[in-house]
Amino acid sequence: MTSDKLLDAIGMLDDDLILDARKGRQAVDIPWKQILAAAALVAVFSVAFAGKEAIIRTFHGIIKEPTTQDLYAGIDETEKKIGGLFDNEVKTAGDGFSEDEIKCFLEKNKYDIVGAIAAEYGEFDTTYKISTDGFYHVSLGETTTLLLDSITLPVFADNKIISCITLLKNGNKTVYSVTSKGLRIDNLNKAVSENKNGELAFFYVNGINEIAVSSENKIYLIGGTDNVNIDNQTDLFKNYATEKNTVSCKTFNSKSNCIAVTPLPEESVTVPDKSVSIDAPTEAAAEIKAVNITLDDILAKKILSVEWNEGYNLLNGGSYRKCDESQKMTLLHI
Amino acid sequence: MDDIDIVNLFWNRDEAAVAEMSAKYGNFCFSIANNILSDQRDIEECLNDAYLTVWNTVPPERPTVLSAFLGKILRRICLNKIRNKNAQKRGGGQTALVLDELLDCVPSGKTIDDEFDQKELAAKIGEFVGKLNINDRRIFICRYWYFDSIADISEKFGYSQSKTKTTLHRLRTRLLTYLEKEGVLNDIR
Repeated sequence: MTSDKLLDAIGMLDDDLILDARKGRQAVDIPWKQILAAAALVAVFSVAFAGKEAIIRTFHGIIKEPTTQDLYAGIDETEKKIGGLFDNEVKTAGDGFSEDEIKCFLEKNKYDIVGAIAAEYGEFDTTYKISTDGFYHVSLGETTTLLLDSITLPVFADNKIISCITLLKNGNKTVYSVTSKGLRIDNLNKAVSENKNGELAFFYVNGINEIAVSSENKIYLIGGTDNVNIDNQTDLFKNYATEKNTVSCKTFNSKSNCIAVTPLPEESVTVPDKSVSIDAPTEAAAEIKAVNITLDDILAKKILSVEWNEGYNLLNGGSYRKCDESQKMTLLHI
Repeated sequence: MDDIDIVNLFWNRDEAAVAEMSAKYGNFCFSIANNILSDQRDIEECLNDAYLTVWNTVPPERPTVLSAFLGKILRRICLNKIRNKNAQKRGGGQTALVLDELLDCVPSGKTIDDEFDQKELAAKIGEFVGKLNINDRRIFICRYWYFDSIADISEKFGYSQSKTKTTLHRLRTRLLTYLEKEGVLNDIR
């Protein structure tokens, strides 16, 4: 049998390798420098610029049916202890947190970040790394690997999602973030008032929804690959809807906010009286469902719903292939 | 007693050599045999055969790492025992599972090129294993050299069993890719 041949060949491995295997798991050295750089990158909310418009890409979806396993409790303890979440070089880092803050942040959250990732992807053994090739490699389960050009991950603290991590790819090479400020949700008004000078600010609405305040005093609601521009109004996060689209949010101060845009329109739409315009997507129409999770949701095994929203980010079995309509999956459901 | 002294006993044809070797590596050997075989009589027989083989090969051999030397002999004897009984699938221990898993590395319609003799194939696998990171390499060897169970590996490495299975699956997939790339696998004609 062929497997016999392999077995016999394996039997001839070097003595040193054979004996070394009995040592068990090697302790992991935590690459603090890289982690700090990565954390600096992820602690702020990344933005890629294209001309004058801020193009913000976020959560691109998941290509795997969620397991029925416990999403959080079963996460491998040792996996959580790895800490060295980002094991490759991160090119640049943002400036959202001081080094001490990042250290504190990591001390408190490094396990949970991994846990969050694993939970988010419905796998205990999800691995995640930033690659210098500019993609984010997310391995799911046994065979599926995603190459994402951006990804948003929730960050837990004190059993609550305090923010999200958005990582971006710029072209094919550079992972970077721009100057930005991570803001707490209760700083919204301050953020708006302080960001009329062109600097972008980002904050989150109790989940993985992102909001950016631009120099034009526009607020960019981010729900996927495209922006949703909403005029800056104090009450602008009331419920919005269009015939074809739903952009729904409660108020900023509510922690139950969500964004639902399903699907994005084929061309720009302005919603009368509600000051909502939605840019036409530059790529395939995205389907983005509500994204709003808490640790409680995860613990309660409620699963976030995010649909795959672009056609070509799936790397499965090592081959890069384009998804067709049928391959869009709704993977998570609140 | 250290390995050099034990080997010297063999070279001096001192029968105490076997006793010393057994005392030092008996548990090590038993764990290997027990992983591969399930029948206690077979295990005992293979252990004795392994000791005898060492007795017959040292001298002229002078192993520098006696445990690995003995372990390789024992492993081969245990596998032959199973093969001779024509019971790979019923053979107990982890053998049948391991063989099944390794079939992943040679998909249907493929076979290992006849031009690759055992040593060349071993060298290729050695190259592959040598390029793995430490933990992956150790897990691979624990499973496919020592026939350790998934549960044992998981405990040893502090992984969940799911994690261990996934790791092994990925390693087999990588091995398949590597073997194909190296021209080890051919289509069955």
